[in-house]
Amino acid sequence: MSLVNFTMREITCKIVYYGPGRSGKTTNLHYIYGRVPDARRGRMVSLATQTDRTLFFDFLPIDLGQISGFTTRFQLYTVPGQVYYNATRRLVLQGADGVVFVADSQARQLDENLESLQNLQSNLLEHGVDIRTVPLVMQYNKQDLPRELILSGADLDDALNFRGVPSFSADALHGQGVFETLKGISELVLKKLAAGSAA
Amino acid sequence: MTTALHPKYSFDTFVVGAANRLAVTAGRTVAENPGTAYNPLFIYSGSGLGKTHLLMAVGHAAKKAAPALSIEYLTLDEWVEAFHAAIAAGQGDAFRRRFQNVDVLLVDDVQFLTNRKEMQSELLRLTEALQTAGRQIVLTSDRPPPQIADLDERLISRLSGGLVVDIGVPDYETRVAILRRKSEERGVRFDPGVLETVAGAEFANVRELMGALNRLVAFQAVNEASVTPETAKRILGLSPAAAPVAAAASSGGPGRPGGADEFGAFLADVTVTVGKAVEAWRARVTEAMLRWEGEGYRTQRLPPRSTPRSPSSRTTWSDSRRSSPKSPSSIPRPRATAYSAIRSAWVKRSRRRPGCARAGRRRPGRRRPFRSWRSRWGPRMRSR
Repeated sequence: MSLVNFTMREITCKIVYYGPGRSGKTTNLHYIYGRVPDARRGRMVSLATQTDRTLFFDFLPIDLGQISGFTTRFQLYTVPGQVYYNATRRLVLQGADGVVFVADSQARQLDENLESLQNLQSNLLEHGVDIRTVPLVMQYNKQDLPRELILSGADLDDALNFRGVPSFSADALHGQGVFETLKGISELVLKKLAAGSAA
Repeated sequence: MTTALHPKYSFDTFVVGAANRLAVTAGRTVAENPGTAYNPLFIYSGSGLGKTHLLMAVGHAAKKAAPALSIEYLTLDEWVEAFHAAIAAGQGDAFRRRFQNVDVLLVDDVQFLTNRKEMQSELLRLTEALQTAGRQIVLTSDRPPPQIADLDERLISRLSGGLVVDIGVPDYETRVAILRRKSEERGVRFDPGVLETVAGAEFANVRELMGALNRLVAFQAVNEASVTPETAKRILGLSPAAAPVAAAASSGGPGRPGGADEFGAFLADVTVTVGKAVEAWRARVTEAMLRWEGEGYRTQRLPPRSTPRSPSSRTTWSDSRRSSPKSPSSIPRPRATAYSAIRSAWVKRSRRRPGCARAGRRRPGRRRPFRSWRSRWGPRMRSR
């Protein structure tokens, strides 16, 4: 999906925020949307139900401008987290250059996190993509909640991050760790692009 | 001939803010990977915003990372002077060799190339030689390459080929940080609010800011009384309205991630990553072009075509100019494929060669009689 067009001098990357329902994927995008200057962002498309649950997906295009002569664009997507929207998730995941797995740090949500991670793996496999080859970072969201309700970053690393990908503690509502996560995934994606074009 | 690097001008003493973060990141990257990251690196800014400091900091950091590297810092005027001296002594070639063997060359104040055609071609040659040998060149100027008057087009494109970054005027927070650091370095303490007052008076550059600080330091030393924000305003001739609301500006809310600058920092980091990738691609494309040119192929970009391609296509041979309003009445031509374009170029070329079997289009009705190799040479060979 990722596009490096030498003639047009364009780089376009698709980054998908994946994770269980109510983990804060859309909140991540809203925070980024609020911080990007007007001239650099496109219209954020969000299809939500009356209770603000993502119905189809959210889409936020960001134009990073000319970098080393290349017009660089990022397209950020979220998937609906609820279990019964799997077909949509699979569709949004198609052609993703990088995936941010947004995990809910609450201890009682651990099973949902694991289930969603397995779902990510199987949906990628449906597209013929091995999860080990896709740039992936973990974001442990809601770290602002009381200590007794949540698992720490280290605990979540033990439970979810068995592949040892970069992980970030975050509080997407207030923006803590949001741009760090985006930076982490962008670097992985761009490095993979560079390596891919070398091969 | 060259100037020694000033020991104080390092990255440790460079106050980084939103206005210069990109330039500093690029400088650090270059110092860590000389010759590979951005080559050449071109830094421009107004006077007194830290170009020379940054340039020398790159030199220090590169030396620290690899002590064996040879690093030269000089201003353009010094370089020109050295060149003239070398030419006068008949040592032009030795001069060129000397600079071509420098691992990291730092050239300050390149804007003085205006109206120096000979030095421009000399710099072009030097830049090419250094790039080919994988050596780093970093240049600074008070304006970007295309705005340097009377600069050779080839040199403009060469200097713009690496990374061109600018250093902006520092924002309020950076000005406060600079003033704090400088007064700490001098061991001078001011009353609370004084430095914020100075930082609030928008000076055009850091040098003027330092001048204002010097006046306060001198005033405090002479009068043996501490300067208050009000006296500071009086000494510096600032109107009361120019004073900032220091407390409001400095406290953006505890624990909150840093405001609008977050996107800027993100952009700076992505720029470095993309820059590295693009540099590697460029190197590979150049290598491929040289190889094919060596084998006699022409490797220029194909000319732009006005016919738009279908939106589904990913790579395209046409240029970005295709969307320009270009004579809608022009007769639509079938779009040539890459293969046919290359073939027609080859045929055109071969027509120029006399005696070539494919030279010229054969006229109808004048068919050349076919003779096989055997029918031409057969009888003569047989007669032997």
